[in-house]
Amino acid sequence: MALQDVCKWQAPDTQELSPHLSQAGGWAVPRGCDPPTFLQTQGPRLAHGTTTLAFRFRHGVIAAADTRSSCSNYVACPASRKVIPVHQHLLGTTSGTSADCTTWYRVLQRELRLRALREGQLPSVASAAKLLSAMMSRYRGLDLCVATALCGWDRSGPALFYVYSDGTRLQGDIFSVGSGSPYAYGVLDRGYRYDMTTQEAYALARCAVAHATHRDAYSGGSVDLFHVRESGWEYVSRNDAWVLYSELQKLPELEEQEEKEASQVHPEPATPAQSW
Amino acid sequence: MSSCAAVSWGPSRNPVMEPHSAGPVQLRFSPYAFNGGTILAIAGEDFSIVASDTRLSEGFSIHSRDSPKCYKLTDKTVIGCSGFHGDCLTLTKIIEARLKMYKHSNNKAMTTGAIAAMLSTILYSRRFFPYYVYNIIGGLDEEGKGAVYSFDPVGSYQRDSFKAGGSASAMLQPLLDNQEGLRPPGAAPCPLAAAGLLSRTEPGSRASLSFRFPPPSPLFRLSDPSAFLRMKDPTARVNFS
Repeated sequence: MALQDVCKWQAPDTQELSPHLSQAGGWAVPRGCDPPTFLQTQGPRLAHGTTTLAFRFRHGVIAAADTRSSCSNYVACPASRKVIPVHQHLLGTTSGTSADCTTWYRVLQRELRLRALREGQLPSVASAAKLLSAMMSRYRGLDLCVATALCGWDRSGPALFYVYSDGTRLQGDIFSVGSGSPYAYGVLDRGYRYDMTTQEAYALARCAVAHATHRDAYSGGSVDLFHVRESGWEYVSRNDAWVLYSELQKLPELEEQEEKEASQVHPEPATPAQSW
Repeated sequence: MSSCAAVSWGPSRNPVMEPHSAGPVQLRFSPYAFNGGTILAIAGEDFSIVASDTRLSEGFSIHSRDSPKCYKLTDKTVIGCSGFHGDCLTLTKIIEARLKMYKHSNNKAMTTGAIAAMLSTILYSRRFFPYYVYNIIGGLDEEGKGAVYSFDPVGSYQRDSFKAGGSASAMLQPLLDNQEGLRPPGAAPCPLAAAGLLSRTEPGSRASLSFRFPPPSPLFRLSDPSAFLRMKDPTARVNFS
């Protein structure tokens, strides 16, 4: 840029990728062993995330996640936050290694802010996704694990992108990410319509995550729910997953009970002469 | 912490001790050793407690009975580090150097939250060759309230009310969840259970109750070890005196 050239100042992000991440310059790697194998066999067990989902519909994008953070078979944290705000109109659901997700999201926040200042407007969700996947694809093969769905509202309306740390970047209407995703997909695919109301969307997201936490060992805790509208993102609720699932189980019984009561109050028409 | 990981730790793996291990075994140099130790921190209304045991071990050997795992960083922050002792020492040296640099540049001490954020980036800078350290920071935040931050070895962190880390964390954390997590709001705090808990899990090592802000008057000890066994009601408070 012109001003940069006049001042002979090098913008930090045009240098080595994210220099602030490594003070010594260059990542420390163990000798004699490639990093993924080393980390798998000898490294410490890291905190992993689990069931997250996001879908876009007429009134915005819904992002929901469980809150269990596990290290092998130990629940390191039952109340972690897996949906990270990037800016007012962009959220990311995170799954994979927690440290990777939080660090790369911090880098993404910084990059988007710099671009917004330089260009005068925030980049679109598509370009934010491209930025994230390009940054991470340079570390491909090194056992980074970030599986995330970027949910936002930009000039093209509600937008949803799935980004994985090997560089995958996909646009779609529904994504569920993590070990509990197959269970969530089953519920989501059944109940999804683009023209849902907001309350229906909230109910669908909660239902899907609750079912996933019921069946997946690595998902549990509570269910966080976020909604990205035209005016920005909003933290809707945090509900305990077990309580939610029990309420869902009670729903058929409640319906049956209501039907029974309805049929008692208005009995089948018998002979007209019958009286109470 | 988990027994499945014990097999590949340290160069001290001895085939004589495992004569009947199945199949060929690859022995390779491991840059890590597991020195044990447990740490825990509890955040109160206007105080924080950080506690650790003092045993330094490797395999079945005890290197030291007096190696505390709490390190004072500033007047308002203490960090507990357990895991590989070599990495604990290096990590605390790096943190102390960075604290000094901050103090000289900014003319004030780092706040607890800032130290936690800094530690996260220090740990992540070694993402592919991690510091094998489980950290818990305890201290006071800018408002004077107790703050506890717990970390995983590569820098994922969050603020908690209480957390246990290290080899006995799986034993301490559920008891903390029961006593602290289920405590009804407004009930009297029972923070010095920390010392009592630690003296039960590592018999023979002293529990070092380090750095309570403000400093405690009497030192509490668990006088009735069988109190644990008699606890029938999981929500009953156990009085440590």
